[in-house]
Amino acid sequence: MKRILVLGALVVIGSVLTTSATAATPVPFPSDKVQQVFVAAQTVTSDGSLSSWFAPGSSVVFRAYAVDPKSHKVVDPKLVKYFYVTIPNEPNVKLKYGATAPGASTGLPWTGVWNVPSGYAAGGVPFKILIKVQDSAGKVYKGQFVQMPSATAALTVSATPPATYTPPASPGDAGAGTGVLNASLYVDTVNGSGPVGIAKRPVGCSLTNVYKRGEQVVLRVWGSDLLTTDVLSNNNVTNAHFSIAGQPDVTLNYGAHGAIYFWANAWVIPASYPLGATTIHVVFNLESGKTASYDYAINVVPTS
Amino acid sequence: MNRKEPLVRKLTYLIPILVAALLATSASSATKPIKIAFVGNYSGQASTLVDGNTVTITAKGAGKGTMIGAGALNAQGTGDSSQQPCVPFGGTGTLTGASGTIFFKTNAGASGCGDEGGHNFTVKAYFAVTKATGKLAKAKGTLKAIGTYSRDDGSFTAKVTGTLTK
Repeated sequence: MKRILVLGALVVIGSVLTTSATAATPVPFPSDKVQQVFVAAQTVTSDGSLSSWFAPGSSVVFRAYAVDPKSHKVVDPKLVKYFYVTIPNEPNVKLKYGATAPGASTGLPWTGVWNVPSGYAAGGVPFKILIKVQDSAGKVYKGQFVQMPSATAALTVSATPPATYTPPASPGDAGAGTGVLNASLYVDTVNGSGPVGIAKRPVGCSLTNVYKRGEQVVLRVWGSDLLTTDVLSNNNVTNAHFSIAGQPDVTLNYGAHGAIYFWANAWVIPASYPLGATTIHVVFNLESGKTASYDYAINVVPTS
Repeated sequence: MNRKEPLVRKLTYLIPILVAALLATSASSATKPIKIAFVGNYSGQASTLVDGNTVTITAKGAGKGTMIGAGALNAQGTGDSSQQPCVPFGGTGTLTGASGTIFFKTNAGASGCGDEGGHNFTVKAYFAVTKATGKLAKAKGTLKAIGTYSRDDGSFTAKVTGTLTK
């Protein structure tokens, strides 16, 4: 009986300690490691405007890029065996390579179009993007992309989607670049819920790359160290920031957002900020001494 | 015999040079600092008392660290809650073990970044070692501390890593 009591006490203590230890354990998005092919993707309109809300009958353009885990470069299109979007209860959407296709960019040159059926039920669309590449030696690598869990920034079908600001910025060469990369980066932007001197949008924290002065540009970033395959966190990053011409650098912070952890921070567009295309230069300085960067384009349009 | 004389003369010159080189090597190895890779993991409870924009922080936890062994982390400081979502903070503390104690102060730039609801924070700081005792006596350096803090239940975790020299 004494043994049972002691055992019971140990179990209780153990469970309390476990609960306490796990209460604040970071859950990096999408996982602790990106083992094989890194994939980043966005949902845009055919003109390249980033959006997470689409109406039945409209067209969603998926655009993506991937990083080869062996060469540490953007995946060579010739090595791709398949690259497609899978949507529950819908035919797969094959991604084709071409930076000039509607909605595509140099940095995200793989696109595919999903025509949302007119009778498609309103709600979130939990799509995935799958890729398979095969190197010259015949070795196969696979990868997948999933959206960050977010009620407003993940792809959603609605009969009354919020209006999308247009036109998007021409992305030019924005993206991860063409050389050997030290880290793979996913970058997107949402509208922040704290605009200054301008009304909030109907749906806060939804994907967009077109802003008005006074609105809050919120960068969301995650990535992985290509040498270790570890997802970037405070463990392996010395510091991270984004730079915008004429503005003070903004520190990117690693923190919790709902149930997951990623890098983020916001920048309010000054009232006098020039209209037009702006490049946001994202920089990660790694503990290894290496640096990773990504250029991201937004457009600032007139308020009225 | 005449042909050997230059060789002897060369050796005569070389010997003092070799001796000097040996002495220099010996001297440099005697003063070469010892590098210690420190790793410590601690968890416990922290309190954050807010008064206006000032947050008074106290953290007490248990864990163990390289060379000092099992023991405790004790730290105290203040933060500026007017800055969101990342609250900058500073303070001092100790990592104590059976075989020594590390005294530290936080470098500028330490912060705790909260989620949208202010429940869960990621903490990042660099500890400048101001004094060390026991097995780490005379050790100097800077340690990186990363961890988490739950404002809901007060629990925190901290991983402290870095290279100390002595």
